[in-house]
Amino acid sequence: MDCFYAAVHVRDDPSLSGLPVVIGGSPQGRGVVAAASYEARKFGVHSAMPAARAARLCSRLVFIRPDFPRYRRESAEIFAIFRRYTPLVQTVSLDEAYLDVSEHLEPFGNATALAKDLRAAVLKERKLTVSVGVGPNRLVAKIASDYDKPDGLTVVPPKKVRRFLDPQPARRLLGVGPATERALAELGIATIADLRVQSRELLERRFGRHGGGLYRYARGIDERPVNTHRERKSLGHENTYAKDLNGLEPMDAEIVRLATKVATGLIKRDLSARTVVLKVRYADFTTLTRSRTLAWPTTDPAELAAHAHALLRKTEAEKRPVRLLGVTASGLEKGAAIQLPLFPLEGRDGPLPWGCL
Amino acid sequence: MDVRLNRSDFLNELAPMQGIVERKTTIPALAHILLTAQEGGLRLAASDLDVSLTSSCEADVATTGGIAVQAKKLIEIIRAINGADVHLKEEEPQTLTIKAGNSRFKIRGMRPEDFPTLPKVGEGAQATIPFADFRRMVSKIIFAVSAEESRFQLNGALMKFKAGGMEMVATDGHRLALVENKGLEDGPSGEDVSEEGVLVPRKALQELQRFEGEGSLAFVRGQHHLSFVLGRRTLICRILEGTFPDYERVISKDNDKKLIFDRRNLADAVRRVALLTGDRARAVRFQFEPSQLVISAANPDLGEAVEQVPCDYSGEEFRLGVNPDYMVDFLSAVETDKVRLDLKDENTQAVGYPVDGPDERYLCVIMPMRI
Repeated sequence: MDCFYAAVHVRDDPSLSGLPVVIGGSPQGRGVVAAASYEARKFGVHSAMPAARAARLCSRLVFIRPDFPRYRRESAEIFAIFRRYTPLVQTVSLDEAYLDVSEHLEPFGNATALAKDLRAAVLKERKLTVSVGVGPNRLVAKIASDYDKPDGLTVVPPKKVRRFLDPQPARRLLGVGPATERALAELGIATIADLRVQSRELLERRFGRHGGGLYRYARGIDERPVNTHRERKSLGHENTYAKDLNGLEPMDAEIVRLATKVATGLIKRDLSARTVVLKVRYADFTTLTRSRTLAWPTTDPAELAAHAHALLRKTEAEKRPVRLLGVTASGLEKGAAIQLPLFPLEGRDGPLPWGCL
Repeated sequence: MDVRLNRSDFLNELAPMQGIVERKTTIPALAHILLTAQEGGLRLAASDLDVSLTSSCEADVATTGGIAVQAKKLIEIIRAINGADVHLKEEEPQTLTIKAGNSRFKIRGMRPEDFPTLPKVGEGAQATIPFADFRRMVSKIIFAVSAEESRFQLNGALMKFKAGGMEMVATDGHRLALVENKGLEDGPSGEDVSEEGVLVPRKALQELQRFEGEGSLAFVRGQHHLSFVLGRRTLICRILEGTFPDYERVISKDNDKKLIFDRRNLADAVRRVALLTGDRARAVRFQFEPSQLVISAANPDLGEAVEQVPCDYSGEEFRLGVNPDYMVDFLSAVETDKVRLDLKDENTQAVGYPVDGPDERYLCVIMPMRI
């Protein structure tokens, strides 16, 4: 989808049309930008940017609080349209999905015609634009869908994969984030073509197992199937504080609150967690995570909190102001037998329960 | 130092030191035992800074003096050598010569000054209890002490003195064991004994359990430390800081289903069925049906196990997920032939009691598993 969150608001409130709309926290506080309309992006606003900085870039920005229940409902409607074309739909986020249409081309005859029909259906029924990339595998389709945004359709037939990929920057590839991009730049590699001419040995020597992936991706090779049963890998909550937290005591209390939310989410989805991850961002934006794996899966907020508290003590949080804390449960299991806690954690506003310090 | 002493006496006092000494430590002194030859005998000391143990052996002391030697090697040597007597002598500085039978060992040691200073407990509340009773109480609750480091206030048991008796409670947040004994010989005396109780670290309880002897265990509570004296041995431990949970609250009183079982039958059945639980989700299912309990476990990778245990139940069918280890721990700690389980529903803690036991309060609360 194109600027999904912003597009939903603009569609439902035509007075926003053509304005630079930003979905996110308040620019007076310390919220971040969750999404920005194309009009806002022209000013250099992008997601994950602090809202206050976005406001400095353009004084006319229209800030809107995110409304996730609304996006989830809209997303479900759109994915239902996708499923009319093929049952093989892999949802990646609220506004992104892979469709395997290779066995479901009738009555369109080819993927291009199907994609055109699908785009028209979404526009007609949901009044939203969607950009589609058609390719022989997920890697190519993803890059193609980003190629002509918004409201674009890019088709890359198998024989044209190399010509399509070669000129693009290497960072478009799966697995090339900022760190890998820097490492590639040191080797003089900027484009996918630059990467493609490197030997597998060199890439594996420099990047280990990841190097083998880069070698294949640069050739447009990707054998991952469209996976319709996307399993949740983690469940977490984090919060950026209006004022930095100082000292372990307020942080401990926040961790109990976050752990309670995580535990509630786990129980609601019949999941349990084997690993607890604590995320800490200091006032200077240095961010780190610490994790530990438990002997048994748990959904007990007190247990999650106790581990997160222990992890907090492995950071410098006692001495440094902290602007963000996050608690995430991973190593999730569905339907596992869960030991219920003997001393339930009651009301998150109350005093710290035992075992949580 | 220059002393001669009986080898088996020496070994008797060395053995309990082994548990105190830190196996993995970055402070070399903590892997050592301090030997001090003094008027009338040889004094031994070991410490991990939280728990320390001192003891003594009768010995012929020719020259007084002290040396700290590596605990593991010393014990290995004393255990391995022949002969009824051992001769210990510091012939060169910081080197201990051990002679027995036809063997002679020279082991390098440390100066006594490099060994940590043992804490002083100071004046405080006191009590005395027959050691056999104390040991029995510890064995009834120690399995419920948490081994989870992040819940450090649960890494010990609460010891609470009451008029003429003593209570010990342990919990790991999933189950809880409580025992109360009326057989206090002396005490409590002094201030601050009865009210809040004191948290005794797990390691101290474990090491005390290894003690042998018939006598009385004398207990003193100082400001930060506790001491336990049994005969010539004194164990001193740091008091565990923290608040113990409000445990009386979780001992459910309104569990209406009260079922009596043969203790061994139930324990054996749970052990057998538990053979088919996975490593990661150790849950067995207790299905209560008219006049029987059906215990079962199913594991997609392994298969399934079922066993019926007769029981006098006549109500509605209901089921309970149980960690078999918790149930077996309780059934192993109870001493009576029959046990009673008080139950309510699948979300409520089960409470186990001895039936026709000695005059003491003992119970084990087990929170069920969601299955």
